[in-house]
Amino acid sequence: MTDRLPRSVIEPKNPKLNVSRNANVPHSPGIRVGDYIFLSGMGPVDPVTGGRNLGPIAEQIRQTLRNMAHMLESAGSGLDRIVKITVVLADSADYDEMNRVWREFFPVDPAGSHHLRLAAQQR
Amino acid sequence: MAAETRQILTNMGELLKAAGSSLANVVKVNVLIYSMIEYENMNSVYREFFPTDPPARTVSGVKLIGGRKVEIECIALA
Repeated sequence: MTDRLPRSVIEPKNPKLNVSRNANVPHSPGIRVGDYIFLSGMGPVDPVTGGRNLGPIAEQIRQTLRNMAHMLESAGSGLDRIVKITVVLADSADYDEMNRVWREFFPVDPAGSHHLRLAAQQR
Repeated sequence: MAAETRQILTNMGELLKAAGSSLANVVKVNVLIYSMIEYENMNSVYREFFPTDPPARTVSGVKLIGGRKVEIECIALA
């Protein structure tokens, strides 16, 4: 076996966005291995209060992607370096609106993505 | 939920070990559960298997086939 790439935890610079630590759940915000970063599922967490920023779908998506940008930038990367995203929507009726907002964040060469409709997502 | 989670993660650890790796080398996990009501029940067992620097993870509530309550996939370093 070849030498294993180093594996390290990455965290957001803004501690309010460190959901896994703040809620004491058993996952890390992100893991870096070599030149790759893997992020946990992210949502519309308010960067000021740390609470959930629930509201219109467009705003939820914007907030989630801003948080994702913050996570990646905290690790020296950025949205323009994403290679794959999975989007989980509670309601597929929001698909077109999600795509509209998506283009604001990924104007050129967007990441590969796929979308799941998960009606049972609400907690 | 607790028993199924334990069985899956035990199997996952065995599979990784057979390939020369281990749960400590997992980088990303997707957990699919039949109801988010079981989120904490899943977490309590999950925590035992990843005590330090746990992998990045996404948990989703979905309809699963075959009557199972939970399905878990992962990406790990060789």
